[in-house]
Amino acid sequence: MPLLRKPLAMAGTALGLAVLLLAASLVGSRPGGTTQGTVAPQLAGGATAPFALDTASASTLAATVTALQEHLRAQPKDSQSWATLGLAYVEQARLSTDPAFYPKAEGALNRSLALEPDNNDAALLGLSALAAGRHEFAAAESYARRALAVNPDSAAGYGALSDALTELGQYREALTAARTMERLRPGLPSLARLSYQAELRGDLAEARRLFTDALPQASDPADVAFVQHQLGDLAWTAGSLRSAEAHYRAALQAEPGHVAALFGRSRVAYARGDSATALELAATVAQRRPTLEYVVWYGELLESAGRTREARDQYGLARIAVEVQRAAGVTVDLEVALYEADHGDAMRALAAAEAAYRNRPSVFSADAYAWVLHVNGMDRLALEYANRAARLGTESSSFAFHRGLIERSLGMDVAARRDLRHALGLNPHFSPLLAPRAERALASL
Amino acid sequence: MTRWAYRLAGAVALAGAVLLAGSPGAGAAELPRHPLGNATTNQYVGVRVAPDRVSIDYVLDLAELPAYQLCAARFGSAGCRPAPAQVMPAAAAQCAEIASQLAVRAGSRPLPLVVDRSSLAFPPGAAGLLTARFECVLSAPVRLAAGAAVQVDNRAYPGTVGWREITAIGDRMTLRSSTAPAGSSSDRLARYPDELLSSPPDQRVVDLVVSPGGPAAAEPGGAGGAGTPAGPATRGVDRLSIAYTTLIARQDLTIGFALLAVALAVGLGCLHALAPGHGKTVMAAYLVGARGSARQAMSIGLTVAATHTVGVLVLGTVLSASAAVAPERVYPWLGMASGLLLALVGIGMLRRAIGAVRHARAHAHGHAHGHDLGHHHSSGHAHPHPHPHPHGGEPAAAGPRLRSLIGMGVAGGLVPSPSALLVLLGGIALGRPWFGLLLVVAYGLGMAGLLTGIGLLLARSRALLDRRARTRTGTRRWRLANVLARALPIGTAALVLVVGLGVALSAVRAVSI
Repeated sequence: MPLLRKPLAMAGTALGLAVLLLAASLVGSRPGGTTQGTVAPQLAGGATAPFALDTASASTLAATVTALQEHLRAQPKDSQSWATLGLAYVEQARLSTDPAFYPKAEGALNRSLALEPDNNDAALLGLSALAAGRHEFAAAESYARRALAVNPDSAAGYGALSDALTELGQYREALTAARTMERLRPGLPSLARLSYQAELRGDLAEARRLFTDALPQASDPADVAFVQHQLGDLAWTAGSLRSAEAHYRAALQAEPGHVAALFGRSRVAYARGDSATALELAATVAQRRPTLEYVVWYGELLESAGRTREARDQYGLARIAVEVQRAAGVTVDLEVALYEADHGDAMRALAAAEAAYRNRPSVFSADAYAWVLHVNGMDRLALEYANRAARLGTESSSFAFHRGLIERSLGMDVAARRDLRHALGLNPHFSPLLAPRAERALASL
Repeated sequence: MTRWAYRLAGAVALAGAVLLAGSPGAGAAELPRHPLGNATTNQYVGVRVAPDRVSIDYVLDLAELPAYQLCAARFGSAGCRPAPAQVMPAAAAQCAEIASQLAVRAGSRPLPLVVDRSSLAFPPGAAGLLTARFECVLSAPVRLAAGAAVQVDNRAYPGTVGWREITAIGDRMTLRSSTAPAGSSSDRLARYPDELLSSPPDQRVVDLVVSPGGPAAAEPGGAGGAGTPAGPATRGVDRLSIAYTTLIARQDLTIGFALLAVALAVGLGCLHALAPGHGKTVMAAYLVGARGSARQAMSIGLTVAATHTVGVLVLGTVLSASAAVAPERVYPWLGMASGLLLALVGIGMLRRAIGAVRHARAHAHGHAHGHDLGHHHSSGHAHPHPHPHPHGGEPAAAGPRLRSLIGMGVAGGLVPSPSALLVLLGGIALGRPWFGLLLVVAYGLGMAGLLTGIGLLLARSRALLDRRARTRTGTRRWRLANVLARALPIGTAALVLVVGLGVALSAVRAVSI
């Protein structure tokens, strides 16, 4: 049933790049900051593939896939090669954001398991990566645990487990898993995960240090681009425009056309007041990867430039992207909730946010749910979720902005002023539409 | 289990989408057109190397989201449901853009592509949305020597996700080496295969080494039909001519085969003369209106054949000497010259015909037995049978008559037949230019023979009409014929003028494009 691919396609692309996951695979989802424009993490993926593939760096992945395909045509009973191929397909889906590879991955991994039902941790890890890519995090966790039961010393298994637990909001266990991974096999994949854990806890300096340390280990251009892009995003979150721009440029030098880095440069250009460059880059990004996050960013830039008709076109595109997902029966996600809250239908936003929070109760889901509750006038409940979003101390302008407006509605002026100042202090240009709103709200207090 | 839930939800959503889209014919299997996802930009580049050109059958299949983006940019609020009048210009503009992004090189020389044909359709996609499918036929004229290297680099839509396929075939050329397959694995983006052991292609560049000679390629495009590359040099070339060129390209040249080839060329020329165009209408009108003779018919036929042969030779020589001259640039100019020439002839005829009517009126019944109409001019030396009323003879009339005849013949033969051009170029490409020349001459003779035959037939039937009119002048029925015969010259002159202007105008349009 090929239709199935569309949902996955959407799931994959919508989160897509924005969200790259760490190392091979796993974690598929990072709630990119749809509208917030900030949300720190957006860990991405070029880190080398952990599992059986760890010799295959990103740029040799295609060659590896071709070689495996040929090998399996001759030796169709080789269960380990099927597992490796399945994992390689997941990896390709992640790197190219081309969801065509998900069904292929599923087929290859199931073939591997059918040939070797027991002691096949490679296939189980592949299925964990695949589930994460499709935002089925509970399944991703379960596959990772089954893989670890087969092979308790699998660094890749702990990586997959850490990724799934992070999305499920179980941060303490996620950190432990990442540390175990680092102990078993130190390298870019484990450093990237540790950096993300630090970032989630608001320790931007540590997150930056880990990636900076990882830089010398990255030799493949795709890995360099990944690390530089992460460093760029960390600098952006902290409002260091000059540093962010330099890292994004380095990422683009390593991998010309790196879409997430182009997006980063668009945000930096906007923050610097160079709206012509920002618009040009955003148009390129939206054309190359019409994901919800990128399209909404372009729409907001257009709207803030007074080009409302073109902005409406972009929001229309975002709307149909959501419709296609929904029609295909895909689990609606954080981006959808935030998009609906800011540009669409408040009630639909509520349904999407509830579903997202149930699916993965992470701090990002909590933030989105809080904001959507506020938009629907349920500020007391909203504050509860905003507090959950703040439980790790994550540094994020949009988290703080959302919380500040909720507090203002509840008459908590002191707290509101503190949070709004914090949002603008971190990055005064975190969003073309929300940053001016934050300023107005602050002035009215 | 979740999988099954998705499948079920997907099936239900799909059924809903089909109902909403109101496309009862669309089976569920047709809808999920892009297994690669709703955000993909899929491209197919079908390269075809022919003796006189490199042509590209390009297909762009935009899934729902990029289709929406494109439609918003091109059609504004109408989205992917534009007014019919907007579709063709959008297709042409998009194909022109694509043409500039496909880098074709012969050796180190870049070959600019021109758009021969473009189309745009909006097949239904998921969730009641539309997708967009452009088909562009692009070509660059070039003459490739044996061992020439050709490269096509698809630079359109860099950085987008999607299927990127290239195929390459030779058409009366052989690909000595190619980095692309000959056939499309997606059937020109109609069906995307989905196998565990294959990846979506991501081919952007193809390198070819070609040599002349080889079987003709089947026309691409299949049932869709839009993908048939037909550049101006090959446009109008019938399958027979292509088969013929293939034949002479393949055979070793023996005397017997050469004779057969010449005979076939004569036959092809005849067939070509039967095809529409060639001022045959005009010639017929002229001969009937001006009461042409057998000798006149023959001189027109010969003029057409001579002009045509010379035209083919000149154009063929120029084309084989320089790839900078594109036939599509030359054709409109020749067409314009041909049209203007015809119009001039038409004006001359009209003047004479009107003069003749006046003259006839002046003479009243004195010359009512037929020959009064236009006899000033039609009674020149060329007239075969003795005129009953020489009426002053007017030897000067022979001048304009002959001029008109030759003018018409030149106009008819000025635009070289693509088939003949192909025959000549084929000969040159095979390293047998003299043989090509011989064939073109034979081709021209075939044309001349047939045109003369038609002319004779027409002249005879006109003579018959006249005779009847003369012998039975008194009856009412034949009086009508008589009136008809009087009016004919004006009508035919006007027809010649109109056809000439039409030809010239359409050529002007082609030039300005």
